Amino acid sequence: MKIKAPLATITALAVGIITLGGYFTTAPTFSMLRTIFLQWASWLAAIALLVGIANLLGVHFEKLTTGKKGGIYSMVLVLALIGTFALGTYDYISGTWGNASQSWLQWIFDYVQYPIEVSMFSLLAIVLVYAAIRMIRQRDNFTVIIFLLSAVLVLAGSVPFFGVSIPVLSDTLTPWLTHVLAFAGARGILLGMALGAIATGIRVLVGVDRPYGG
Amino acid sequence: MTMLQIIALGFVLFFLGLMLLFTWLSGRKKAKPVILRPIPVFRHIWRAIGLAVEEGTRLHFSVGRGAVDTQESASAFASLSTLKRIMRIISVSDKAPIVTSGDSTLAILTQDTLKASYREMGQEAQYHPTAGRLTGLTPFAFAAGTQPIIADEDVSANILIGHFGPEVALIMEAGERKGNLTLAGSDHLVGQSVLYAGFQEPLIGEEIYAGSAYLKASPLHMASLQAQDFMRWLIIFAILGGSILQFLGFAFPGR
Repeated sequence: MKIKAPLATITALAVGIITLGGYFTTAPTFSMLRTIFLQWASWLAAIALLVGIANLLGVHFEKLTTGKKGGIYSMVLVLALIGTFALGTYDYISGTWGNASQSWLQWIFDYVQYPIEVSMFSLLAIVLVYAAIRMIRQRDNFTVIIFLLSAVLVLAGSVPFFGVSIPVLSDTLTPWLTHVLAFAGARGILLGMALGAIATGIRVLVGVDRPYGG
Repeated sequence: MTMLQIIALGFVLFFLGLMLLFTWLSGRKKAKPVILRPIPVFRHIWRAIGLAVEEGTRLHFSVGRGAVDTQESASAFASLSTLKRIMRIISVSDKAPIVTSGDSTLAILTQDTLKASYREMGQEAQYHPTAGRLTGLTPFAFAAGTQPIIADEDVSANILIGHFGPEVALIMEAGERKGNLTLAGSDHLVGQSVLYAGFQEPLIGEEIYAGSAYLKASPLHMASLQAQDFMRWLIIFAILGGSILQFLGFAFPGR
């Protein structure tokens, strides 16, 4: 056990440095190694997906067998998972796999998953309006005024008022707000985040942060 | 090696050099303590942990759904680093925290982080594989899978740090309904605007990467934060200087 952690750390550091090196040099060895490591990462990610599904199944199976609150939902999840897997296998055996008009998996996506996700997206709109109202009640500072003002101006400028676009607001102010002010702010945030990402990457590369448990 | 690659490599090496320099400076005997600008969320994290420990309830930590083989990996790693730090602080809690994620590779890393944290604290027996959970593979499935955990599993505080899109509003709403203390930050621009529009004091921009430094992980974490601030000012001056030079008629190559 004592050997495992340093070995994992050394392996992770070496792979990280070689992969990073592959981006900065055209040397064929580095590029080849980088490609191999990235391929391995893709395969591992695919295997991780199976492990993740096993975890999901394990959590809900435990909830179901121990009679915890919400066990009925866990039962639905387990049955849906087994059913989807069975239909996917049937698709594969019958040769309809990947055929959009005959595949059962496609049917599940079109008539179960897609409508549910769209419903949740609609629900999100309501949740956001409610949350925004709550925020306005809780905060009483200058930023709330700016937030409200810009939201009203952009909404009024983007949506024609009874079919009529509002002069100045629709053609000048709203595009300026969204394309100049909002873009400038977003770029500022993105620059800061890029620096944060570099700092995190370096910490992982030098072994200060070890997200692999080493 | 192209000019752009040389500049990029130089940037990374300069950043690393700054981190080492700040670490060395902070390690001197006469070094003044580093004063970080106050970020309310990190102050509240201590409260969230205290709340969970005192009430004998659980802390729910979500690392988001940033896959480790994509651009979002940095926020995922920053989140795991913050989780590791929190695990050390919360070791006295009666109930083990629950960690959720929306990506399978991240779920495995989460379990590994939890296991390693318990091992480091000498409490390996407390680790349970279901403490690190994959709750869904699409954004809304992830949100839908996380909501019942907040509602049903004796959670008193939620900390969400990582890659979250607009679906984070549904998770936050579940916390609000339960009356939990919920703290969040995302590297996703839409996720950030949703958090800002709907909830008090979210983490904005690069603040999500600063968690481990604010939770006093190590001198190198503090140094990386100082290097980050230094580079930010450098970029601000470069942008301002470039704008002034262009205003004065200086022609930049390639423009």
